[in-house]
Amino acid sequence: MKENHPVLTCRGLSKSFGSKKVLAGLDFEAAPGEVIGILGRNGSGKSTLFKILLDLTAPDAGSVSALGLAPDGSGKLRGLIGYVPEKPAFHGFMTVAETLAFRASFFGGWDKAKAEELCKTLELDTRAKAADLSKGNTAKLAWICAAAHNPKLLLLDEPTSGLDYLVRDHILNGLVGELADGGRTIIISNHRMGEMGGLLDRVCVLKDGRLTADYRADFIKTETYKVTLRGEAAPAEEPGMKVLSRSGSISELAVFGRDRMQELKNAGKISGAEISALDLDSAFKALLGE
Amino acid sequence: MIKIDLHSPTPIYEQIKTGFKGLVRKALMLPGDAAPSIRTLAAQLKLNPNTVARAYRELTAEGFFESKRGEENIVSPRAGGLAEADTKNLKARIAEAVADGLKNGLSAKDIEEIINKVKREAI
Amino acid sequence: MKNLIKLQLKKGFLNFAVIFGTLLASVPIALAVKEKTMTPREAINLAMLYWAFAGIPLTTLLLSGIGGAEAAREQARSTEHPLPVSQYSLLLSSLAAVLLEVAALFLALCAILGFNLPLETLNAVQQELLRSYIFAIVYLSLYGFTISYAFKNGIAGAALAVAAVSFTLYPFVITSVFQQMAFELIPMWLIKPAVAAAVLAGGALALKLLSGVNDRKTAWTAGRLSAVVLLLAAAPLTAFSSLAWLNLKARNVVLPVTPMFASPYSADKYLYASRDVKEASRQLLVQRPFYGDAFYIDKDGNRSVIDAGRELPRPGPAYLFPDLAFAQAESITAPSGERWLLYMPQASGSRIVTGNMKTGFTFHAALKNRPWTMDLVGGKEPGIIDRREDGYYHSPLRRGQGGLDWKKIGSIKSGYLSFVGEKYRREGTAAVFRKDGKTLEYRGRTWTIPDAVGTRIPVPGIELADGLNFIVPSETKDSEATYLCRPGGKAELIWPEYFRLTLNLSVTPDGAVWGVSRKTRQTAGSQMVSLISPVLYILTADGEALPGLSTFRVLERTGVTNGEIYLLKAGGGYLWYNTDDRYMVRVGIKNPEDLKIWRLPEVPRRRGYFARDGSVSPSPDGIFIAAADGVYFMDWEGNKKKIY
Repeated sequence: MKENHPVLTCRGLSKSFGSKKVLAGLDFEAAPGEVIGILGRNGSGKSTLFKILLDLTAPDAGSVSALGLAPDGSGKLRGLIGYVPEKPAFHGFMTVAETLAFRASFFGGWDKAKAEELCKTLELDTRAKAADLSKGNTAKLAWICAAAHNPKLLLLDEPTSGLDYLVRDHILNGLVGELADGGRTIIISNHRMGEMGGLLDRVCVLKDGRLTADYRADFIKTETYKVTLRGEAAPAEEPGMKVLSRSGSISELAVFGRDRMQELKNAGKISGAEISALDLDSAFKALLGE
Repeated sequence: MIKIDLHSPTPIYEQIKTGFKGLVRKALMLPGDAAPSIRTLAAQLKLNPNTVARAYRELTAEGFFESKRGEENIVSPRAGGLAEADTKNLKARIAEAVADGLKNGLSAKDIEEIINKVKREAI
Repeated sequence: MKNLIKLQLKKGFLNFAVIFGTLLASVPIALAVKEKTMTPREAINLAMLYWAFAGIPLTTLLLSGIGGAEAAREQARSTEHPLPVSQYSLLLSSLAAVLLEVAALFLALCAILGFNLPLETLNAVQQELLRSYIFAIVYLSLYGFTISYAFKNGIAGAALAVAAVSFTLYPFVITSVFQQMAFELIPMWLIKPAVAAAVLAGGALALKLLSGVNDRKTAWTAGRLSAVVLLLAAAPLTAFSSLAWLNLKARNVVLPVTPMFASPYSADKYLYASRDVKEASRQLLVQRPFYGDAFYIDKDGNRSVIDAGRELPRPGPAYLFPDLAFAQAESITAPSGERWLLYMPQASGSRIVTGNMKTGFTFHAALKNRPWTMDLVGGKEPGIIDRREDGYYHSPLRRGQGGLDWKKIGSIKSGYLSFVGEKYRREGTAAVFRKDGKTLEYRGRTWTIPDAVGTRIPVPGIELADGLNFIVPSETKDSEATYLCRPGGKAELIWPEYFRLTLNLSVTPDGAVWGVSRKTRQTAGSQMVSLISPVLYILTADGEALPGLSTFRVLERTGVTNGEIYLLKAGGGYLWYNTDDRYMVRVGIKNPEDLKIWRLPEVPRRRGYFARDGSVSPSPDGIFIAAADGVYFMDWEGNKKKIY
């Protein structure tokens, strides 16, 4: 079922804007069927990375191979990828139906029936003008445009930020649906990964222009611990361990990995500490700060 | 019908399995009932379908689910027994943990506090 | 791409509709505000003229400026970049939409005029501009769009586009107009397409590079920046360089100085044929229009200056429009060997100058008014005849006697031919018809010519080997003929058409008389023939009257289709021709298969109302060629050398 060739490979991607180096030799690989979350602070380069993958921005150095194609400026790659931009924009004078018909003429493999079905499921009025759509409905339209041509690779940039519960629900349902159809690889960049926790296979942290962390989602859920202990007893930070907070006499640490945990216990560095599971949001926060 | 705690250290697929076993124990699901499709459950819980698929695979392997008349993931007659067995297991584990705690200096009151705390959080 | 263009058109529809509506509305408005004296047609033409020279270019700037600036904005990017087409093709689709809109406006304008553009109302410069119109509009669109895109600003784009187009068109138009009025010096057939290609390729490639930076966020490097600038500057620079080239070439041009209304078939000067023409033709009077100077040159390259020329024109304005000064002149050589030159330059006053190459030329008299009405007249005593409003005047030209002594010789109606004829008769070089109109008499000898076209005016003779001969035409109701009256014999019918020395015969330096058969002489365009080949009648200096000679072979062999063929020399059993100032051809008289062809250096082709230049001038030892890059001399064997 799963092929061995990665769906997406990046090697040594670098990009600077003026003197600001946004990507510095980034390496990344995605296997078919994986759901990958890319975590990064604002301005960390997530959008730039996506733009390079989508053949919208030219990298200064490095290579990309996606679905067997390399970005060459022709835009062909975009025909194979389902992309939901951070701020989707459509031509205001076109209705939803016209927008979909317009897109259909550009994407081979566009499934008209699927697009119609999605409109119904998401309760999107096809006669509404794009300029009149609310933020939520715009997001829905963006999602339909990305999914209707059945791409093997989906790139979503902040797909749920600023959306209400119901719309977010729809979007996540849509993602699940795509996954259920099989063979889709999804890469999501989000500020807050908490709500995606159930979907992700992998979480990568984009920091200082590179992926500084790449963990399996299971790992984050099951092998991250919160260690609470008295301030003086707190050990210094080491790899795999991060200070979450120090208030008064109490320090909280995050420890990543069961082995790490065991090491620390054996070394006696955390005797007398209270150990509990680390929740996802705190884990991600720790990763970002690492 | 099943509650998943994303923050729990227990793997999600385990929670799904436990969830179904709980449903059978509470007689909310009876042998012969079909479990919701992978897709439906995944959509409901906002989970990766692979995760749900894994849970279903294991439940089928354990004999909790069976395939009948071309349909998959039907609660098997043995489900009840397995759920029970599971419960027994769980109970035994809890007893072990309590004993451990008592041995190591916790009082009965401490253990009660813990139980109350967990009860509050679980609901 | 089609869908993209449709999209861009839809996006800009409102702007376009407003402008289109304005164009349409200008028709009723023009009719409403027109002056009473104008016809409706004229009013509409005027309105459309404003649209053509102002409205449409401004609209082009507007649409392309907006289009380019919009395409650079984030808005356009975010709605269209997700499409699986290259970002460059998105830009091209926007540009295509602008071009289509402008084309629609232009077609509407033509339609309003009924597809009947009133070109006659335009002057030369405007006509030239119109020829380049479509190119200029496309140029404005492409550059307006690209530069607006580069600066993300429609106004900057429009301003720079106008600058670029003006910079290109100005030298273009000037060069074209110059070449139309003066002569072809640089290959506009090559330069125009080159500039057009530079505009299209330069603009499109610059746009592609800019898209790389703007859309794809490739970094600006020094190389990239200079590439964009060079690509955009290529067209204006090429156009300006062509003007420089024109200037350089114009400096070298040497033209013969000819009379204003010369024609190879004209007369009077050649009356004192053999000697005047032979000796006079040993030197060629040439001018350099760029410098305004003129001088005589002989076959060995010796020169004698007639006019030192004017100061070199100031570089600036001269560069922008090479200002040429053309001179005309007429000359006659007296029996004493003195040359009289009626010199009419543009840059200084017309005058009569006299002298010879050995001793130089001196000023004789100034001519104030209308020198082009004057003609020199030869004979034992050279003179000058002036046609004035109240009649014809004559003054003899006498050395040592400065100034002119004008005497009226006839009224306007009576003309001057009788005066000249009388003069020649008195000098003993003309014969007279007896009262019967058929008998010609000279020094006691008579000839009877049947049906002669007798005149009261004495018939000038032509000096051939056997003495003074007379050529007399004759005419009946249905036929014509020309007779030759030889000194030792009778009147011989030589040619079956009407020829007269003072009318339609020319003389070569070696003394041959020749004319073109009127029946076969055609002007280009009068008849649809693929090759005009006139029949020539030649009377050699030895007195041999050749029958009508076909020039077809010679013209065909030299690829000349316009019938321009002139006799240069007839002697030794051969004829030498000049075909279209491009080739010299030697043909055997008895054996036309004996054909030798020599290519002549390129001569400047003058346009306009000037008749044939005389760029190729025969002389006894060979021919002078006033070429585009100097003066050459070629002998009768085809050996040529550059003498200036």
